[in-house]
Amino acid sequence: MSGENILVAIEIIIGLLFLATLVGILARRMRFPYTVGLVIMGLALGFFNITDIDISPELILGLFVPPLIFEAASQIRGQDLRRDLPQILAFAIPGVVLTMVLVGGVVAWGTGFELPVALVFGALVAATDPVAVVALFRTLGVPKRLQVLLEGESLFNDGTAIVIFNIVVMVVIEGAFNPIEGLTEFLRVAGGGLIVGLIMGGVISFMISRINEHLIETTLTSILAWGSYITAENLHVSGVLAVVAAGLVIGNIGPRGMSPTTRIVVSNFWEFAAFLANSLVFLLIGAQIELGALLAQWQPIFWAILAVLVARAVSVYGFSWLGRDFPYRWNHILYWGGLRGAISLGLALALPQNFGPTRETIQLMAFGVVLFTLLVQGISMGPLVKRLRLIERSETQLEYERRHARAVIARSAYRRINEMHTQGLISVHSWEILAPLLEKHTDALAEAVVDILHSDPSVEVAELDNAWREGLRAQRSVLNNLLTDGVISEQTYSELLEDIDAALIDRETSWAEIILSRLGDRPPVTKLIAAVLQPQDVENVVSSLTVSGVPVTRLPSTGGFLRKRNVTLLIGLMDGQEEDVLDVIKANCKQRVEYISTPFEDSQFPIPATIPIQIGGATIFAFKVERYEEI
Amino acid sequence: MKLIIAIVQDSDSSHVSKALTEVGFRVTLIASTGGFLRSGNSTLLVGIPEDDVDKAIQIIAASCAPPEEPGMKRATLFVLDIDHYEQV
Repeated sequence: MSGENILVAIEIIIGLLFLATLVGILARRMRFPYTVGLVIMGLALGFFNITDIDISPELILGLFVPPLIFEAASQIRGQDLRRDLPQILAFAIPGVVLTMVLVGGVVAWGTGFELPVALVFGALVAATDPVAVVALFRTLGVPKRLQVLLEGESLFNDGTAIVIFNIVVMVVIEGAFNPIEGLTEFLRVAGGGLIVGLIMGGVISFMISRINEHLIETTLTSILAWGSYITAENLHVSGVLAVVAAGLVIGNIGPRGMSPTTRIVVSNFWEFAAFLANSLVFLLIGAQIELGALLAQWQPIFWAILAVLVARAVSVYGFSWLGRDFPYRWNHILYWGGLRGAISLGLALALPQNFGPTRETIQLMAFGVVLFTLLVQGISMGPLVKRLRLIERSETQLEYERRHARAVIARSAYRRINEMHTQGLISVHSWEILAPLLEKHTDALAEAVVDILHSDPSVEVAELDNAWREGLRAQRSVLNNLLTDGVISEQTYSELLEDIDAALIDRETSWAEIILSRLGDRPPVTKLIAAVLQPQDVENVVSSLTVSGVPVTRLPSTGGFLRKRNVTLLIGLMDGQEEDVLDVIKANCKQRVEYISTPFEDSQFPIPATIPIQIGGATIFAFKVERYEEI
Repeated sequence: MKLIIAIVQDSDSSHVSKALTEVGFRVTLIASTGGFLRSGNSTLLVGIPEDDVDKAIQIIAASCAPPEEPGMKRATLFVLDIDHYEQV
């Protein structure tokens, strides 16, 4: 490629990115899915022939698909994937074959294509591409597991669809099909791709764990994403599956060897790379589609869309018996979320020139299906999710978020004004006007938060759980620092990390029980003890009571008999604490002998005589408290 | 009769006792320190008829200065039952 060509390409890319940002801003303002906006913008570009971009299949599959798939795969946690693996694999292998056969059958019946040709179409639309849907899920707050199901399915079926597509294309061109050869070819290409990805992912993860230099580590992950694709393709195995495997490895093993900085840099980088690839690919998809040609071929396109919808229904609801412990409604989302995208288009464009006269029609059908799924299914997904009430954030939860946010911001306002007051930046006069108002306001808001926490235990549990997990994450990051600073050895690190990870993964933490036991631990104050002690003993008693969480107030007092200074402690007690407190007082207040001087009786001179007396111990009065308040 | 033992901050004690005496409650003020509100506390002993307990608590709450941090305790109150009350 000459330098001039590169410059032209960069000019085009910058122009496209500019358009993409415009779409992004509009999508946010007007609340429609970003990818849908990109496709529409792309359609406009194509319609007005503004750009003359001829995208090759290599460009889509080799340049744009690896970052998209790599980023998505690296986000999937191993344990999430393992839980739904049977389901995901069922969708990804038999599901793809079933889709191909059904779509092929319907299309062949409806349009009069030869069956092998129709099967090629079936294979190229078998790969789902839920990017548009997943992006929507993230903003809507759909259950994580549903996301993993849809995303995991798409990751693996992209790979299998490409492999099967190539096999079927060969069959059409050569005109012969050997089932056993086909199967071995499938196993070789798919398995080979996964193995290439696993090995390269492992090697790069190992290198990352040896290096602590975030820029180099990020570069290594980029080499892995595109390198695993190129290597696998050069070895004639599945490049997409290699990227999937590499992404899973780096996302699950890689972070262990990364410092917190590296993790943040790597994840930000991939978020951005995926965003770029996503923006360009959907703009280009739109730009490739010629609306006029589509309309001219509306009949086969109609059959294609129908076939895709029927096949998706059969495979989703057909496999719904498979190890399902999730709500049945999720199937509707899986069904309607089966969008088609970059892979289908890339494959359609990749149809060899010697494929035959139906090549162009099949491409148009693929464009039609992609356009339909993106526009119709993509746009209606949001309302469907809302209708099926899949969103985890309930009304109470939203209300909690609102109240919580209000309380936090009001408190910060109070703090700031108080600060200005103490620094003398506002007059005492204004402070005296403002303070009670603000205080009343924050009090009311804080109470509102507590109210909603009490009203819905699930919200309370969610808050506790969040806080708890954040705490564990903080532990993890400090542990990482300890390791990188050389304070602890690798062995200690991995031992402790395992503990923390186990606690993080543990979803069984039963907050409901903890809430109950907490209530059991803190019954209201029911007793008041007034204990009269010697001054020497006070410090010990107070500090050991304070340590065990019992509040103490001291009053200076004077003994009646010797007029000696002593101290009266007021101790508020909850039920069941009495014994403990008495033990503390007894243990700390010793009887001791002191000598006092008194003048001899009948003596003419004030000759003092020292008399030993026993003092010390403590006098304890316990009262029943009828009512206890804290203001 | 009830006895309210109220532990308030030093800076509030004069306001509180003034507010209570204004409505006719009898207050004994003791200087104290410690645990509950950490430092600079005063303890008030207030003997009152049972019906007035709520009123007295409201007065105490109203005459304590706003806290430095919302949510901080300003006063701790114990209400005790009294067997016998007499003013001589």
